[in-house]
Amino acid sequence: MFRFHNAKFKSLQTMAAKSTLLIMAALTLLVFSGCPSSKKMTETPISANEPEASTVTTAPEPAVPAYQRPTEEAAPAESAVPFALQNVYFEFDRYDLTPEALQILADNARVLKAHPEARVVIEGHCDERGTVEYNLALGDKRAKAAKDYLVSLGVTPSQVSTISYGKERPIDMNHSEEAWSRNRRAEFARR
Amino acid sequence: MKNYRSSESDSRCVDSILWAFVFLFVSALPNQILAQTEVRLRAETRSSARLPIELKPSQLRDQATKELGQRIVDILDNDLWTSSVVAAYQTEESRANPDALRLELALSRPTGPIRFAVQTKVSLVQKKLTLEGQLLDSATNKTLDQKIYRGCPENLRLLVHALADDIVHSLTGEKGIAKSRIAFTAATGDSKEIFVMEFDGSNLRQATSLKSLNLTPAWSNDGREIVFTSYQRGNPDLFVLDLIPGRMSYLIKDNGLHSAPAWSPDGKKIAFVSTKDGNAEIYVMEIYTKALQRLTQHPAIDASPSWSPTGRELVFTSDRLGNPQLFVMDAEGTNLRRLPIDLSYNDSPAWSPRGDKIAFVSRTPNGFDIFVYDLGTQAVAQLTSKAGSNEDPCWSPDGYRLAFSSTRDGRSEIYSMLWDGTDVRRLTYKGACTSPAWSLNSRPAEEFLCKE
Amino acid sequence: MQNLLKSLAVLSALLMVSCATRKEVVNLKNDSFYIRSQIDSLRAEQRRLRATIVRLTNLTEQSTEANNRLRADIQVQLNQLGEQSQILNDRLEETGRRISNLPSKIRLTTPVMAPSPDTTNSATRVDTAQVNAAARRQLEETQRLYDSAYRDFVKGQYALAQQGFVQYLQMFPESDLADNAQYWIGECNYSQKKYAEAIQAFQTVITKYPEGEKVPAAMLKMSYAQIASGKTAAAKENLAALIKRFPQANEANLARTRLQELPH
Repeated sequence: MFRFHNAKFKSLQTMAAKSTLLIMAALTLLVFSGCPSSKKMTETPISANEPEASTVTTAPEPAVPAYQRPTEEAAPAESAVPFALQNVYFEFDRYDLTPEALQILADNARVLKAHPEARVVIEGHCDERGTVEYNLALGDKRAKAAKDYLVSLGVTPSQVSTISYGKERPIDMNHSEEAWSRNRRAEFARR
Repeated sequence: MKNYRSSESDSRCVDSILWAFVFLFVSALPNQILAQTEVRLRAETRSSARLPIELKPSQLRDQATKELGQRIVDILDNDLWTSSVVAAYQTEESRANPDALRLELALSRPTGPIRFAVQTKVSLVQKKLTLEGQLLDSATNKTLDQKIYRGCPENLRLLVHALADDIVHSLTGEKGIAKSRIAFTAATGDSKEIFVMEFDGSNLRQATSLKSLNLTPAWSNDGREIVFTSYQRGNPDLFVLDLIPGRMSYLIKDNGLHSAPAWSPDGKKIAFVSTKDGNAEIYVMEIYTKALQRLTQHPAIDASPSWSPTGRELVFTSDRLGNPQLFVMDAEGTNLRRLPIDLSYNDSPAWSPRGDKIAFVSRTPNGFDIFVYDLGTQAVAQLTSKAGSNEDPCWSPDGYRLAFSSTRDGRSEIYSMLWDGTDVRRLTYKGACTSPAWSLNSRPAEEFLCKE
Repeated sequence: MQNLLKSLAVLSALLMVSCATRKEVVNLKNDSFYIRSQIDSLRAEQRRLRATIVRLTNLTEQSTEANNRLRADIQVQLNQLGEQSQILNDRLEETGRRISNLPSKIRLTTPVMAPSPDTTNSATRVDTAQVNAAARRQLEETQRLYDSAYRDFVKGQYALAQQGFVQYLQMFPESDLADNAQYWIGECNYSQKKYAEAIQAFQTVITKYPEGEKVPAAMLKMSYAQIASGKTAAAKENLAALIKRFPQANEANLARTRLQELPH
């Protein structure tokens, strides 16, 4: 039906050029067809739509894409990026970040940057093995490792604080390898 | 004298009287000196070697009842036995209802003759209690010395503890532990509170009700204050609890974690772990000036400081070699060296008040077990095995016993044992009890006063 | 009616005047339809372009984010590498320390292995064994003496400990632990607040065992002893020298803090 249908498949650049050309052509045509019938013609379907000039500038918004500029329009962005932060897990007696932890933290960083008003506490936790004192220090290391990475990804340092709970706040009370791996974590709590 | 205060129980007074006592004892019985020395050496090397003493039934005066007399003998019996250096044997007539402990004593009756006896006399007049203790030469029934303790029925235990400590000190030169207490943390719902009990597990009471996490308690030298980590304000800060008015004050509040405090032997400083400058390091704070000195500087975790009894050195845990190991440095933070212990994961060091040993935990298939490192011989001895996970060792003030937490009976409870791993006694029946801290053998003078 | 007529007249006039025929009108209609369809398609195009631009913008953002991420990751790895190398370094030092405590033991065992296969003289062997046993006894005695002196130190018997370390140095001046013993002599004095003697003993560590591992600690403690005995100027000099000579040591950090605390 549309003769220029195939144009859709052309490269972006030529399309841009072509569309300008086409608009020019259309305008010329309209001017040149400024014959008696032109008024009648323009009263019908076209006038139902916007005039050409406005068509160019205010085309209806396409569906909002998944990624949006986080700094502009904070309010719509909030609804766009849900405030959900995931836990990060560690290996036994370690506070270095695993590749999985880095990925999760990168996601968390995006969320925090989309919610610059949000303040979070990173809680460092350990499994039950090891002493109270050592685990308190280890939990502190874990929370700080997570924070440092977030900050290096561009999160404002004042947005994030840290606290260590050592082995005092397990989420899994069992005494198994599985429970321990769940308890060795950095947890995000909104203040 | 009118305020019911037991003037003899004032610690300074006790000390001077004790010196007189020791002098008298030594001068009166020169032939005993060798025996005493021998006992002391044997007690250090073998747990079963104790100096036997006979406990005579208490003599009752005025309104003192038979029950009161029996209670005194029972408390004394238990106190002396736990002192690790003497063994008390009640005479047949005073052994009314033998419990497990006395059964144990009965099984280990001394082979030789008992050379000393303790005679107590108690008088009760209008709620004023007078306890007199006499140390007798069993053979001649001659009084070697005697002491009087005044108080009231409420602090009877404390008066008997003072007597027990004096007996131990007179006979062996050791300080005794009967007045000492053990603080620890126990879970109450979601929070953890500090509890205090006597050295043998009796008189348990809750010292804090903060409804928050309260961890790693440590005693002041006078037995009056406890310093600990509290999350009461959200952040793990250090608080000092004065037990007499039950008042709490901040020691340090700053960003980051503050934990594992340890009071210096001279009572003037507290060593602790802080992450206030970013990383877990050991700091020392002068209590009165609050001047802070940072001793370690290393990107690894430095934790769990424990003072040597001279206050010249500190042992602590560090993972600077990749896993937790024990290091010693001097009180200024220099002359650092690793203790040559060939175990892979060592933590919770506790320096013995005798100076020559460091107790610690090491990872084993069961969780943790308690070990002792001898600074003189560099030998390592394992004290617990195959009985749950055993953690948080701390020394009794005389250096003979260790309190620790263990899961050997299921949930974590506090136990004590002799330094060689024998004579294990369960002290708590609460569950989720950890981090015991044993006080020095002293009580604040207020505790000897009677309530009006 | 008149209006209608008027307009009809105007219309017809217009039709007349205009060069348009009915056919032309149809053509125009077609044209306009064509244009409209063009515009429609353009607008669709536009919408797509806008969407693409948004996507592109996001892509660019993601790539800067990816760049940031990369940088952050590299930072993490660098930090971890740094810590690992520190650990390795410390381990290396620790191993070195342990090895340096071994040589005497190794020296003792080597003679037993050393005799060449053709040495059939059993007497020589017996001699070696005897020498070896004697040396081992001596080593044990060395260690015992040192350990018992340190045991006295930790028990707070400083005079006794000092005597032990002095005796140790007299008996085994060439021992690997000689500088340590000399350091402990300083420490015994320092612990008793005998600062003049402590300064002298620490100075001996620095001058007599300049390559020893105890030098930074001795320099620091000598300065502390000087401060305690009022020799602030000398202490400052010493602390500065320590920082210059061992900038990476923990003692240098402690020295820096102490220097800041001292009155200028």
